[in-house]
Amino acid sequence: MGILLNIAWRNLIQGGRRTALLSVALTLLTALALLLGGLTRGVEQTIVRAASTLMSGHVNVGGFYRLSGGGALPLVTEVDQIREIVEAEVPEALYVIDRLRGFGRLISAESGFWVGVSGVDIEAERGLRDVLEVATGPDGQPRGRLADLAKPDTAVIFESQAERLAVKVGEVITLSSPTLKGVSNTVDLTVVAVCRDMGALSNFNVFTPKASVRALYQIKDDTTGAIQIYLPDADQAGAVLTRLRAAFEARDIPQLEYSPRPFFTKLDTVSGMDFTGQRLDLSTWRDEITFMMWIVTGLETLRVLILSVLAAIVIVGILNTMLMAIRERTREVGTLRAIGMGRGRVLTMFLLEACLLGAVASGVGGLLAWAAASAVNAAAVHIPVEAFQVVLMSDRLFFAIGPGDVLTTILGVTGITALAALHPAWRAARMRPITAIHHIG
Amino acid sequence: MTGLDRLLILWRIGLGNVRRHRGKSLVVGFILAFGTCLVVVGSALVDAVDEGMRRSITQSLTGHLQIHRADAEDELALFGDTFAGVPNLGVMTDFAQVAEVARRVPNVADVVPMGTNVAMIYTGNALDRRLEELRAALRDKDTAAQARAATRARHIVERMAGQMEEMTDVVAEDSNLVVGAALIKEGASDDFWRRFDADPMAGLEFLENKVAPQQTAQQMLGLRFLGTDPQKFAARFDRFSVTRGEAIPPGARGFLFNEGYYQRFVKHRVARELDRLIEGLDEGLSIAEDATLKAKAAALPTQYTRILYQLDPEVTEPLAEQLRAYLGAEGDLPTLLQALLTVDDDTARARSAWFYEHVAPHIELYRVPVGSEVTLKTATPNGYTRARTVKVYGTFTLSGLERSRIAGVYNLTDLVTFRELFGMMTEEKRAEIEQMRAEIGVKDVTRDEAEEALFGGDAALVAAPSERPTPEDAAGSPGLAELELNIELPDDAGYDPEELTRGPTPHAAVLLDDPDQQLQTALALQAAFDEAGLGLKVVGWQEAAGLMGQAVRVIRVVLYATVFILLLVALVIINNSMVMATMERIHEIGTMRAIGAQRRFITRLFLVESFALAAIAGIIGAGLGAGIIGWLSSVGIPSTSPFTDLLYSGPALHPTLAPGHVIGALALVFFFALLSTVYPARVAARIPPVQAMAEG
Repeated sequence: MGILLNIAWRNLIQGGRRTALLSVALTLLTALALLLGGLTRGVEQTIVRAASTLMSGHVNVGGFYRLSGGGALPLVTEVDQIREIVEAEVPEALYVIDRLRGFGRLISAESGFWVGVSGVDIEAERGLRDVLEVATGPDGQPRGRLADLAKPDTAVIFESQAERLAVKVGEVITLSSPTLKGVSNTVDLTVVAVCRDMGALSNFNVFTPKASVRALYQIKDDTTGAIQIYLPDADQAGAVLTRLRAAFEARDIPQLEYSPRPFFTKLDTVSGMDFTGQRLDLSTWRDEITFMMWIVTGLETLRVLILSVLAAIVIVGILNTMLMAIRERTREVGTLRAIGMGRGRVLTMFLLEACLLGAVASGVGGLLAWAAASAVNAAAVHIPVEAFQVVLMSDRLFFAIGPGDVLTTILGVTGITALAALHPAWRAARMRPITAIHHIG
Repeated sequence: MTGLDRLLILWRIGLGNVRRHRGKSLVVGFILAFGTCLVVVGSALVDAVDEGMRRSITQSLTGHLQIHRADAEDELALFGDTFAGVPNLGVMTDFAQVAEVARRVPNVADVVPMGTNVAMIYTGNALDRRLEELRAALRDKDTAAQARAATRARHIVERMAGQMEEMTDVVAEDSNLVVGAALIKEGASDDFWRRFDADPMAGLEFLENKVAPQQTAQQMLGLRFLGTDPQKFAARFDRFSVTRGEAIPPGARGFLFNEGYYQRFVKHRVARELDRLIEGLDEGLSIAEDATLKAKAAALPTQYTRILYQLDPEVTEPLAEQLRAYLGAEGDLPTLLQALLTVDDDTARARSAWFYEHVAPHIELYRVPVGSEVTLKTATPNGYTRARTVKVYGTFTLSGLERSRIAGVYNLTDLVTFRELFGMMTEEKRAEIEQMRAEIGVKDVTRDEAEEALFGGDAALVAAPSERPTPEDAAGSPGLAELELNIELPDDAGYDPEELTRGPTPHAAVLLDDPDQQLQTALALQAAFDEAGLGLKVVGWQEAAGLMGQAVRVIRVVLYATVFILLLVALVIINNSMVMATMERIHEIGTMRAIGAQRRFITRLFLVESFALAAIAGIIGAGLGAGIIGWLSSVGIPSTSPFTDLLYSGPALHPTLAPGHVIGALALVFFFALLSTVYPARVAARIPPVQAMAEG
């Protein structure tokens, strides 16, 4: 094998220009595949990160309180008892928090728009504190402090919101929420921090202390919106959800049928049901962001489409080049066969050559893509078009390329190269030594 | 030898070479043909989608151009931006002047005033309707009707009482809901109904003023609406047509629901879900296999209370009898209704038909029936609440875009009603209201007192209602706000149609005679406004459409980027194949050089070869592409989602082939073929004859 590898390597070097050209094509393919994949994964990561902090935990124990007349409120009563069960059943949780959920119109002297309101206890919100990035003002100073959200009747908003409302830190905005009775309740909130946007998603979110949401809806202290559980591994959410559902069932705590949808789309269904009082409703972060997954699906489809067309073109190119190379080297093959090399070894030799070419070229491509992605990420390239911001879920271009992605892409491209070389190599191996030696040209 | 002869020789050798090196020619030819085909099909499709979006957007809402104030705070985004609200555009105070200047510009067909806003409507208020019946019966002294209506009303109040009790589990004790609960409890008590029999009028007053306002308006709906000149809009936007009821008559205040919105949100939930199941079955899906349909079917029986709670006490037993006969089952009405709504692939259609025949007549199929009135509640730009009650004349559709939620987002009302809801006043209106103020002032106070009584006396513990008594509103009419806050503006019967041609409007659509002249007309229009010193801005439909317009741009960029990447890789591969082929032909080139061919000749020979190959491959590829487009054009690409409805401007996309698509594709292919030959040709030309001969 060592000898074969050696021969293959030498052949590649000797191929000179041919090798170089094929390498360029393969490098390009690898780099493109990685960058496109990195973009899709980057978007997915941004969505997951934003979703699992802004609007959901990894697993949520939410619930609905249904009134016999038909109205339903997104509430969990007797929060301490539920929380105790959660903490006992999910010991691996990094931390458990609870939030109040609301909906209302944010109003300033300039403008107003509808937002989802999260009533939070900022001290307990470890993940949220990490993710929310206080923006810097024109003077280079941070625009407020997140910790001030612990003060009563305060709000943390985002840059685009602040611009739309034309408010600064320290100014007062009004949150007006329609109640079930058709009247609107309002609270005045002091802006304590303006955070960097997190894609278009952040336009729909605002954070206040729990007490402000309680006051808005006149909710009791032992009632909350949802208990949110954060896990070391987000992929474990499904398993934890199943475990918790079983635990609540064992304790005869009523739950709704599991339905993988965001909680706000369930309100309508719940109001048509016939139970009254409390039902728990468990969901994972994936369920809460189903309405955004079309972006990831769309990008993924586009990526697969582009890459398959590219791979087809590259395979045809490699096939062609290899066939020509083998014709050029007919005499060489003949000689090798004449001095006793078996067909299998000739086949292996050519395949090895292709693999080596694929590995080296895609290795270079992988490195280039990784370097390019790192450079772009570090430079924090701003995207000026809003529609792109919506699709990419961020105002910055972000590629998520891990070592694993680089490795699998390199292996994939090498595999494709070997696949394309299979037919030419097989033809070379089939040659009869005697005709091969006599071949001219 | 003339130049032409030389060219002919070159051409002949070139073509011969293309034939001789069949392998290479096939591969390179394939890539070139594929590329040409891709560009032809791709550009034709992009153009078709572009055109489709243009028609969808311009003919449904934006017109070709939009005009708004140059100093607007936000950008116009008719199809929404990333905020759930209405962009602040300011107000053009004198539409008559704007229209007059605009109409003088050539190619301007018409100018239609517009404004958009978000409103909340509260529906499904069953008690109010029963109380209306009761009042009518009392007026007519119809004792039978009175007894019936009283039974129905009591039925509802008793249900409310149960609900209020549960609310105290989750709501703080000091909530106004708790205070209201006491009133409801009283309304549900036997004692109250005994007193009612003695003095029905006093009982009715109590129910109307104290109990009815306590209902949890669970059926609060948010909607977007467009205020415009209804007649002009119908005439100028040719996709517009009335589906149910009638158009808003000239000079009348009125409201038209968008049919899509009406079906999705106003229709009875159970009926709507049944419709969706049948739609799914019509599309060839199966409840047993399709996850979405399965989930819908599974949730349907849980919704039986939506029927049950709407049934009057006198119809419950007959309906239960009918259900027992139909289903061949026993049990009470709730059980039977659940059984009716438990459907699968075999029973869904029959059950839906039965529902519409026997159940639908007893329930409210639409929460807001055509012909009834609806109260729109809006927030002015500064957050003050306004309300206006208008008649629902009917529903409308934008043809081809029925399913599109983005295009179907707007409902319609007249500009006069819109202005009042938006908080802008014409001068006359302002004077009129000023005059009425004193008269209504008295009623105002009683209202306040009523609220005081309802929300409880301990004001400190009660959340403030959203109405903030600040004497400042959007139109800048100090002193008026407090009046407008506490009363619903008088809903007079009509208005002078002339009001639609003058007065304030946030923006306006401009329709052109020749849409292809959009840019020129926009510039001329802008110049005319600048000259008149109106401080207005003219924007094209692309910008006016907001996110939708940007989506068009994104789609185009993505498509072009895709084609570009494909061509780039193709370039490398072609170049590669060409160099390979050249290397193979060193011997042949050497011979040619030895018998006197100049370097230039060799270079040209290679270029001619590529050219010939590109020509053949290009024509095949373009032919193939044209064929595909022709085929797609005749069969149409069916729209699969509401979003593609919008992109395709109808149920299917019929792309058409323009000469530009073929010419563009061929030019691109020739360019790429020649570009990828330059390097190999130079390589070949540099080969010295001696070395070339020897290497063979």
